Amino acid sequence: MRELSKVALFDRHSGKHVDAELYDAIADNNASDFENLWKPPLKEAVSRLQQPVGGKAQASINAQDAHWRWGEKVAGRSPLVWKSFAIECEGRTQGLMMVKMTHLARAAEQAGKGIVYVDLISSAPWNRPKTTSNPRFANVGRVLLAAAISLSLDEEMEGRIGLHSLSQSEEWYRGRCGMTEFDPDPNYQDLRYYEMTAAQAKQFIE
Amino acid sequence: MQKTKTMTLNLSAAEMAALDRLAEARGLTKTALLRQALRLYASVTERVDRGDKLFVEPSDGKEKAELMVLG
Repeated sequence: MRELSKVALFDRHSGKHVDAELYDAIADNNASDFENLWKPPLKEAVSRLQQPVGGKAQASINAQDAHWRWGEKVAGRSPLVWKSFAIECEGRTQGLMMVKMTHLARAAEQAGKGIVYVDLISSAPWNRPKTTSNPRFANVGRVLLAAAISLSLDEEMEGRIGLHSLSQSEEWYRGRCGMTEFDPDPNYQDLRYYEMTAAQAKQFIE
Repeated sequence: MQKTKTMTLNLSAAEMAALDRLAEARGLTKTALLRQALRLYASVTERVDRGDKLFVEPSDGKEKAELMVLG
C-alpha cells in the first residue's frame, strides 16, 4: 500500500503555496495520467516545432521525455532495487520519479559509497515554462529530489543522490540544485552525470 | 520511511566477523549493510533470471570472468 506525505507546490496562477500529495509508489492512475494527460500536450508541443525533431529541438521546449513510458518502466521491477514516487494535486499527477538503490557514488569525496540514483524524473507538461506559456505548479522537481534525498538518508546513504541529466535540465541541476557536474558519460548516451554530496544534500533540503 | 519488521538472524562467528568488518569499512550499520546486500542480490537475480550474464573485469585489464551466481 502506498504511503502518503503532504507536500507544498507553488501555484503560479494564484501566487500561493498549495497542498499536494507525495506517494511513495507510482500507481496505475499515475501511469494512466502520463499516457492520457501528459503525452498529448508533449506531443503537440513537439509537433509545433519548426525545426527537425531531435534532442536539441525538443530540449528547447523541455520535451525530451515525450517518448518515456512510465507504466512499462514501473512494471515488473524489484521493489528492493527500484523505488518510485508520484506527486498528485487537484486529482492529477503533477510529477513522477523512479530511483535505483544499487548505484555507487563517483565524486572523489564519496567514491564507492551507496547513493540513490534518480533514473527518471519528470514534471507534468502544464508545469513547464518552456512547454507552455502559462505554467501552473512550481517546485515539483525540487519536491521529488527532496524525496530522493530523504530516502537516501533513511537508507544511511547520508543524502547522496546521483543522476544523468537530459540536456534540457542541465542548468537546473547545476545551478538551482547545486549538484556536482561531471563530463558527458559515454556509457550513458553521452548524458552528463550529476551528483549531490551529503553536504550538498543537506543544503538543498534546508 | 517504510514500515519495517524485525527478525532474528543466526550467523556463524566468521559470518558475524565479516558483517562487522564490512559494515565498519562502509560506514554503515549492520542492518543497512544487510539491506544493501539484499538489494544487490535482488538486482543480480533480476538480471540472471532474464538471461543476462554477469562478468567481472579485472583491474589489470585481463580477460573478463563470468560471475557465477548461486541459484
